[in-house]
Amino acid sequence: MPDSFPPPGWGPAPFDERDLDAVLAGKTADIPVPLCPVADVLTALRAGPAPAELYGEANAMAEFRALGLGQAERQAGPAPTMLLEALPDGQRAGRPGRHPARHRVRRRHPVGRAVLRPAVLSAFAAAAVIVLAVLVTGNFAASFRDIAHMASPSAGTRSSASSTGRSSAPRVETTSAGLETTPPQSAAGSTAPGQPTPSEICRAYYTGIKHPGLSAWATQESLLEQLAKLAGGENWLQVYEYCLPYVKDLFPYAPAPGQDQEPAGPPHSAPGSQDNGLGQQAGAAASSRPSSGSGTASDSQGDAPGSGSNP
Amino acid sequence: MVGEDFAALLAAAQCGSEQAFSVLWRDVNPALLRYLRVVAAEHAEDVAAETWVQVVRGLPRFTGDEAAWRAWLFTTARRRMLDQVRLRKRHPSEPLDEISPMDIPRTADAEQLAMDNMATEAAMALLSKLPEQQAEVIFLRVVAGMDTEAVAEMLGRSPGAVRVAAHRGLKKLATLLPGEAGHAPVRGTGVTL
Repeated sequence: MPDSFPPPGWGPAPFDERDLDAVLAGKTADIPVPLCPVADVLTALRAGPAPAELYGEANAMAEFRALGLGQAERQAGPAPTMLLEALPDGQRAGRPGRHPARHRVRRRHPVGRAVLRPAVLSAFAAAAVIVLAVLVTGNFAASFRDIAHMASPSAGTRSSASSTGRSSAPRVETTSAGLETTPPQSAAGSTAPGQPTPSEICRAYYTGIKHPGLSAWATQESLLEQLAKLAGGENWLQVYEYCLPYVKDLFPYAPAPGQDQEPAGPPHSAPGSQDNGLGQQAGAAASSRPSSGSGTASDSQGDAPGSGSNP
Repeated sequence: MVGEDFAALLAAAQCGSEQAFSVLWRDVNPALLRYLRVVAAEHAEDVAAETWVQVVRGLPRFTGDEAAWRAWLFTTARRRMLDQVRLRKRHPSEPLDEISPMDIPRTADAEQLAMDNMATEAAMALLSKLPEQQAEVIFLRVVAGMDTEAVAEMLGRSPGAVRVAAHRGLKKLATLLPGEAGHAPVRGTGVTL
């Protein structure tokens, strides 16, 4: 017999690995007594959440919403955590989906986009029309005037009204050479220094007639108005007779006024239909004609432009 | 643990249900925070927030049961924790002066909240005294609810090594508890302050 007690560490262990596995698994029914305090510690670790451990829910939920995952439920019904208005259950069930947050709508559908879209399209359309007109006519100013004339017919009316001399304000005359400002001219047709001379106007007009693609219709009309005033009448034959010395090189085979052959003229005019007072009006125009020096003498009529006594 | 409803909750959360996601978050986040407080006490909240950001981004593509869900979440948390540790080593920061507990503003129910959480806090303090690997294994087994194989895969160790580490930790914990004798156990948990 032993005469003393064994040391306290001797003997079988109070628990084995199966007991430890049971404690880890949370099965504390049949665990040894020495493991009970350990089981209590582990139970305390599994305790319910403290309030401080749930503070981060808003951030996680914000991330959940930011990625678009929570959008479906918010549109389908009211938010489960916050109701701003107390509604009966029946009304709440039939309540349509909430609108998404304003910032989300703004981010996906900018407010200005819908407003700006027609304006941008209109600007692009106008720019395209201008470029097309410039390409066709080769004259930016003339195309701009065409567009203005097409946009508001009253503008053309005002323009024609001012071209008759009723307005005293300087007006802009468009030629193939560009924009030129001319003062209101008197019926005599005198031009100030620096202004286009009758020969330049005549050549520009008939060049446009000879080559229709080079000048715009509005430009031609404007030139015809000026020439009609210079020639003393709107009869195209008067204009032709007035301009013949300047543009004879353009039409080498054109007959002189008064002959049987019809000269080249604008299609809208009636060739040879108005021939009354031709020589008289041409003479009056010649009296008010500046001495350009570029005119060529006519062989058939002594009062032809450019053949007078002007220096 | 959510239990049988986990599959339905996960599917609802993946379809955009905030309520389902809230249930999943409330189920896992306390355990996640407790785990992180042991392995990364200084920046547990930051790591938890980063973990949830990554989990939310990968949520639509996740497939698996609740064990896989917890394993994925805690694995993500551990990786974020290691990144945070490496970042702090590269960019060390000077801590502010420690604030005395007496200077911390308290609300009316602060003491009650402290008493409620005292058992959990004391248990965590006890496990913090264990070697780091043993404490981590016990936390993953007990708090995260992961089995031995999942913990072994997560830590990159064999299941046997994980099992041995857990047993050694529990034995160590058992030896620590009698050493605290002389103080009354807290709420019958056997944990002493």
